[in-house]
Amino acid sequence: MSEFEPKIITILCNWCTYGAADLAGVSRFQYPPNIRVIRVPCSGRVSPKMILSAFHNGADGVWISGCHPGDCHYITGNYYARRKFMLLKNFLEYNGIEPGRIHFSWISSAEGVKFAEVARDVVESVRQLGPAKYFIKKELDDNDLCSCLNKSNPDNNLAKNILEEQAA
Amino acid sequence: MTMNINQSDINKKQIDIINQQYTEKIRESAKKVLLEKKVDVVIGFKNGTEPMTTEPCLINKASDADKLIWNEHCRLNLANYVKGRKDKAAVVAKGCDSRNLVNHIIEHQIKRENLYIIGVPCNGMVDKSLNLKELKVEAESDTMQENLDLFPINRDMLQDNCKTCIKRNPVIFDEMIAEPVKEREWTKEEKLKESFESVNKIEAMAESDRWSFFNDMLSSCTRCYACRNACPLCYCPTCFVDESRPQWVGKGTDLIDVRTYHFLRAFHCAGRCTDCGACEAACPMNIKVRLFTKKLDKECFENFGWEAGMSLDERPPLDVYKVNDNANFIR
Repeated sequence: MSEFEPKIITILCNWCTYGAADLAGVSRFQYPPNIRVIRVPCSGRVSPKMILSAFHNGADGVWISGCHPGDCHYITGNYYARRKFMLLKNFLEYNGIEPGRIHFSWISSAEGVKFAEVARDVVESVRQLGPAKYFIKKELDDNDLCSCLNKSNPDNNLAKNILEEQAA
Repeated sequence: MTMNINQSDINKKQIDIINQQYTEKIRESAKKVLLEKKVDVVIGFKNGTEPMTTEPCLINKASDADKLIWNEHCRLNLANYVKGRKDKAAVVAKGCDSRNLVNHIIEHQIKRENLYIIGVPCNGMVDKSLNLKELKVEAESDTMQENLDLFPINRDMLQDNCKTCIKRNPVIFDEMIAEPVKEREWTKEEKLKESFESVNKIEAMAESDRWSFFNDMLSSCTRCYACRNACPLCYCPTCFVDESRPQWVGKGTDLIDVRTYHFLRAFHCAGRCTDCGACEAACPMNIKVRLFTKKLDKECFENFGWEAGMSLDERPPLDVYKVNDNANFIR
């Protein structure tokens, strides 16, 4: 598994953690390049649709980060987000997602060090879990068609026939 | 007349008497409010086209009041039919329906003054799949009536959510059609253990087992959206399943799309679901979709001490916050 490099969708609030990412970069703190950043106005903007969509499209982990409680640019956005995140995390785990795939943090724009540190931890935790297993949406290709149709009956040549017909 | 009957010792005869009394009173009230022009429409139940089913029924003439009925098959939630109405409506409401009416009022879907609530003390609804199976009733069979005469209603025959009901009598009402039935008092421990038993079982499974458990459960889902349409909580102008730019969830019966649909549907009901069971009652494939909403119910109950629809004065849990909310999962 040492060759596996996780892809992590990272959703950062514009006012705090995005600033922290900037600071970490300017200050040349080292952190792994596995994170893909999406900037949102507030952690309260994050919807469960986005998390599932990340998993659909091949993310191995999701990390959401915003302002510390009390520091929200919109005063209370992250307080509401916190309740939502708790339900979301527990509900994802109830559905079968491993606990280490989804991470939350509060990082202020002055905490470049914390940003790099959490980034390292998140990447490491997802790396330990290996590639995502659940909620992956893939397009059906020829191999899938074969395996679907053959599943019920190993001698079934229907799939092959269909594919040959298509090719001809 | 006393209605303080324990669910376990209700038999068919008693149920018949209760149903008849309820039906008469509902018709009487419907006639009265329509004739007095207190409301423009009365929303109740009428007999369905198949045995042991009912349909929602909207009447606007007093002469139609005799269509209305009450029995142990009134599983749907009539609060579903008042959302967004601009006229005045009377609703026949059992405990859970009234809790959803409270939801509608606090979510500003309807004004209290436009509602006339005909409160029904509820003895529980019979599980739709169980009773058909137990009685082996074929639609339109001759023996059906005989079977029905023998039909007792005991706790085992109730649908799951009725077994753990916390509010059988309406929370708010303008009139009650009978004396309130006895409520069960739940302690927090009892509720966590008993009411959420199904959820606790799934929580005890390993992650991968949970994933495959729900895959199996949802493999028969046809994406008919009956669970969404039966649910009084669903009233977004554009449902997330119909959004196309971006398309958050595919429309077919691909298992991941089905999982996503059920995940998001349940999440939208977080802190609002009254566990009325209309989703399961409406499901043509008998999928236990309540296992999802029930988990979020449990979370809200454990963490915020919240039970939806019990009071007009409290905001739902995701509409408020506390400075000291649980934050130990956040770094």
